[in-house]
Amino acid sequence: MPRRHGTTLSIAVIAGALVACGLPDSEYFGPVPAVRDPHHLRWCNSGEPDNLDPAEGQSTTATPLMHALFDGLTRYGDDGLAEPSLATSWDITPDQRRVTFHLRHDARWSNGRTLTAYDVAYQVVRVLHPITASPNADSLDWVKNNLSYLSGTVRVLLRDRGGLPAGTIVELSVAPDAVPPPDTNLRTASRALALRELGAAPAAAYATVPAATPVTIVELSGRPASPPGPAADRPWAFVYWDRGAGVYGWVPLADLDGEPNAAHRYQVVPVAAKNLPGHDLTADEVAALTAPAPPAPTPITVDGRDLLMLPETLGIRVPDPFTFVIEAADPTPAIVSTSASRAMRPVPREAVARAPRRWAEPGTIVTSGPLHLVAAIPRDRLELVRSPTYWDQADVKLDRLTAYSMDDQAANANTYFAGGCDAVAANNVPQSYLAALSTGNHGKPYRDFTVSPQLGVYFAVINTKRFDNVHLRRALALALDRPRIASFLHGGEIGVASYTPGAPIASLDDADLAACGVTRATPGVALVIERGALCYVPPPGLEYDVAAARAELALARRELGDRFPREIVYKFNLGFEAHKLIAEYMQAQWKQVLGVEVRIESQEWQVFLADTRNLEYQIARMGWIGSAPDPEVEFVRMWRCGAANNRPQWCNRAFDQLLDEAAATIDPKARLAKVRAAEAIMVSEAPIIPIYAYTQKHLIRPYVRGLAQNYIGQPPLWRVWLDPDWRSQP
Amino acid sequence: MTLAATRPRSPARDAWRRLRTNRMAVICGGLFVAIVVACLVGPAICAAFGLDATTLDLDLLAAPPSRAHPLGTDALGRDLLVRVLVGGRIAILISLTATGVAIVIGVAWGAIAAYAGGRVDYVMMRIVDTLYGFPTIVFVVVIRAVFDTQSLVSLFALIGAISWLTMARIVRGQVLTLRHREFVEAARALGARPTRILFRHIVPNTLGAVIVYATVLVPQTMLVEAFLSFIGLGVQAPLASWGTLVTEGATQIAVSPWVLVGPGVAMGLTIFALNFLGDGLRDALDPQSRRL
Amino acid sequence: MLAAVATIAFFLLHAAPGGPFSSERRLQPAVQRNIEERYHLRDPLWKQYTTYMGGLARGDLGHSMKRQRSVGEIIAQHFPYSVKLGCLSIVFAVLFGTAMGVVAAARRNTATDHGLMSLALVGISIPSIVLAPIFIRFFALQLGWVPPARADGFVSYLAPAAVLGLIYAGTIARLARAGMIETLGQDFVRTARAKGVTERTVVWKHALRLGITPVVSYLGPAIAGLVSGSFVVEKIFQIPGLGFYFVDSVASRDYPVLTGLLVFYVGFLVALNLIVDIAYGWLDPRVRT
Repeated sequence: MPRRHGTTLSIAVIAGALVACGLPDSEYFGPVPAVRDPHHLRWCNSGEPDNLDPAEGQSTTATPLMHALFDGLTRYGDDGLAEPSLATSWDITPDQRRVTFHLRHDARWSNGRTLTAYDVAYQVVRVLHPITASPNADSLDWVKNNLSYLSGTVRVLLRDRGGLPAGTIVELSVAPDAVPPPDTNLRTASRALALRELGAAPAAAYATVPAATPVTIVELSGRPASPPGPAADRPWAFVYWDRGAGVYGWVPLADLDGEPNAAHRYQVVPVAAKNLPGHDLTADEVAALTAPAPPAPTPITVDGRDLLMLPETLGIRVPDPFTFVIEAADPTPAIVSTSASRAMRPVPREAVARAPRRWAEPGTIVTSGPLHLVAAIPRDRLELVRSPTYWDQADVKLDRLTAYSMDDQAANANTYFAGGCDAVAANNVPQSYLAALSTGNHGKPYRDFTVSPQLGVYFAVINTKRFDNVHLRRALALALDRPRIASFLHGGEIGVASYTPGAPIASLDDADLAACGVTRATPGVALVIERGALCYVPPPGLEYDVAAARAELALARRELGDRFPREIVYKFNLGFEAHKLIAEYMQAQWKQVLGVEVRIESQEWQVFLADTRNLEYQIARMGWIGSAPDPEVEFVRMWRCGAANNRPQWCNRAFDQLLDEAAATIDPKARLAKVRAAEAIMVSEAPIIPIYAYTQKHLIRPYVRGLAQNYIGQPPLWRVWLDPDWRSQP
Repeated sequence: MTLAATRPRSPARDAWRRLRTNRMAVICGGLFVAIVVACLVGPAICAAFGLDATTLDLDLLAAPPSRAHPLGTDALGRDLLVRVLVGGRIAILISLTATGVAIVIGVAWGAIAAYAGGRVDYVMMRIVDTLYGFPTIVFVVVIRAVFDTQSLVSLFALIGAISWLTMARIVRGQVLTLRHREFVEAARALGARPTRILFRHIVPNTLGAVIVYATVLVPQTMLVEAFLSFIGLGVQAPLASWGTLVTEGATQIAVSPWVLVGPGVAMGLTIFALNFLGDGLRDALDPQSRRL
Repeated sequence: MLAAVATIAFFLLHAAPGGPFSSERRLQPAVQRNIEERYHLRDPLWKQYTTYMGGLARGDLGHSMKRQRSVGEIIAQHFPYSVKLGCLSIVFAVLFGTAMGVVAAARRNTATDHGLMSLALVGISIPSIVLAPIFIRFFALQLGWVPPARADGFVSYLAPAAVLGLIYAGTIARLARAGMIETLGQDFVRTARAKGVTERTVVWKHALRLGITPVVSYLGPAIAGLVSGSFVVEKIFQIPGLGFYFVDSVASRDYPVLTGLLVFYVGFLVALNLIVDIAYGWLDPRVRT
């Protein structure tokens, strides 16, 4: 049978060729190509950036690029902590409610204009404005009146009314679910409006609003948080016109002669003392914060023409072009580190106003950072080049950055192997490669494959409404052998039973060990917040203990009786190989230790998110990565009763109480102690089961220098350069 | 014309004889049967050697073929030989049942359209024509994702529901020619109801064409299942099929090629065998449409 | 037909759980409301539908909800990749498959014939999901002849096109062989042979044009099938064609993109089938009248 043999033979040959020709043992993963351009980095990004606009972009694919394109008051250094950038210094009030940033004078936008504090204020206003609907608004959830600004219920009183002086910040008295009242900021004009830049002539308009079309006032020139107009007695208004994707622009206020809601009457009350911008709390007021709430003040009635929602209702002020003040309602030690995050990175008003949704594209984008965007081909790559207007040229080693937008992990690794890119974005190494990467160099890891800790934790969430018996939850937690999971993940992950992630204590230096109050022999992790000064050691969790697990299970069985579940369903989302492996492992482990039947389900991401939010799950996989080393804000606050991301919907009064107390505590060590006590409660009640602390896996060519590996996965990409003589100094 | 001295030869007998002379087709048929049998009893045999589909051999993670694991292990340390056999069960089950669904719908549709004739036939066939142009794969993707069904039943029902079109056309063609034969006239004269005529007399005579097309449909549905599993909308964990195994293997080809080769070869051989068998059956059952 | 497709897709997607804007960090209600208003998601369903169909009639395919581009832009930016890949694949498939089929027909029932037909069958039997990674490993990683991923110059299209092409080459080979055999039995061929024309000219010059008509009529469904096959190849080779957007728009409930792509795809198929019919008529004069 010649044909059959022929076919089988060909199949066998192919199969044999594949299996036999393994990748040869070598020091590095893939042949190391020669360095062609020492100042051009080709970077395999983890996908296509969702949006480069700091107010809109959210993903890990966009964030490192955003940080390279847009400078911030502070920036993330090589160690992932905030360091001064646009702000050369800052003053923090003792009660940690206000920070005054002093900006440098030599920062410029790529179009030549000097960068001022008004640009910083503009971004904060923009992120919190309801029209923008920015998904990053919750980074600023500590700013005074941010919630009422977002929901459009805060106003400034324009004239003396009802015993209150002009300039008082008031809130509209609206029932929470009532129909929102008509917008006081709405205006019309009897003639066409020429939207233009502040102080420009009408001929320079880039958009013209037809007469009698409503626009919304966003800012007025000359007021506390807005830039000054050309003439103090003739203010200008920054308005929004809802045409197509929207457009903003300045017009003289006098042109806006129609006020549709001028005569509508509103009930308003002055805001509470702690929300009053520019006001320092007196001792009485501080005491009043913890006293039982006084009766609500009687609202006064005001006409629409006397109310306007303006930036000054937020806790921001710009006393002069190079000073920026921001205020929090509660003591907030994280203000300085948050100033490095995207929600506070200034954006160029002139570019944004013309195309609010699409300004961050090559051609229209204006940048302030070390790199500038020159090309963005969808799902292919982005090209960034050195920005000649950046103030810190000495810090920039890179002339050109090409970021490839492939979203397939294996394709990224293969492209790296074949010499197509110089480094793979941290944590984008495929799970299935890790075993080979850890042993491919004659049984040792390849020299260009490294592992570093990451500020994130992988855990399972348990629906506490369904599994309300704490013993059952504890049993499930105690039955998992975490280090085993970490061992087959091959990524150097650290199996943890504790929750807040940190660096392994064994890897800390002496100064940090002292700050953390531990010795090198202490097991577990610790989160260094300030080197040598402030450290957080999470409380220990429910470590693997078969006897204890079975004891808890017995208790649960006794208490639940018939209600004991016959089968438990564990859900994870599609898209990452590791989730499935871990799910199958946990299934096997729970069966073996507890005799509990577990069924695994996987869901597509959207459906998974929806279901876990709506409590349509029993146990599900979750992961959380922090953007700053702040255990309270980034990790522990998540579990408050009713918090947005509290998927188990776990509620514990003592936990919330401790967090409230912590929020009012100023001394950082005392504050962290309260946070730790709260976390201890949470971990022992097991609404979540921590599994491992994330690590980042890196594939970086040996000739790449200056690519930092930090905790939060945000390397300053502009400091990278390639060394053609790498062999002489590995 | 002389009276035949031997037993009259039925068409089925003729077909079988012709098939038997086509050695390749017979071998492929045997191959398919062998694969099915291996998938059914293989895992039990492997268990005797200590290999099963769920044990994690954590010391030999992602290991190439060796004495302990003839096809190697995957990234979680599971033996691939058993996984391929167990995966085969699911893959073959899905494709057989999906083909069954397609047969049922297609035969019914084509037979009714051809027998009823006139307007009914026109409308029914226009629907088929329209659906032909419809990107059915997309349809399946949307339905699977939208209604988020995890069940196996809905999977093969759905695959079957998009695969019946050509079957309907074939059956219709057959029924059209059979409609005017004498045995049908006779049945009608006897007063039999149309449905009875259709399904008891006519349809069985189309069986030849149906079987031929069915052997082509089985590999087709197997490929559809593989495609769906590739997108993640096919078979779900902890069940595995060749589609899911191949998808896993595809991403690891650079470092662990054996993870793809095992299920890939199994799937390829099965599909090849069925296609060849289908060719052979077509030659045997309908000599006029010979491949020449 | 286009309208039917659009309607079905629209309502199907809206029936799905999860909206376009769920993300791991849940948004505050005020922000969520604002986003929904921006995209008219709070309008009653019938109103959203009529808005959309009205736009379609004007040729406006709508605007993506997840990306800042209109559907038309997405198609314009990514369709060229799919077209390049598709064209190269068809060229591969037709050249390779036709050659195989014609040679097999010319040497009917010899070992060459059987061997080539078995090869064709192997091509049909190995799914692209299996073939593509094999190609990557062999040609890209071990030999280094082509890049393992990304569409970066002509060379990078070779491997994916070869994968796609080989699968269709199998069917084309069989069809070509059948068509050629039938044609070679026709009168005009016998006449040509009788006149003393060489066998080679008979096959390649006289019979070919008629013999490959079954191939041409197969091209329509082949190109249609290329779409789902190309999704696999585009994903494995990371070529930014339209295939990705199909599945992604379902996953992210980006209603306008999915319905827009469906409408575009169906329209494209209709146009293509028209072209195929015309080509068929040109090739086979008997059909023309």
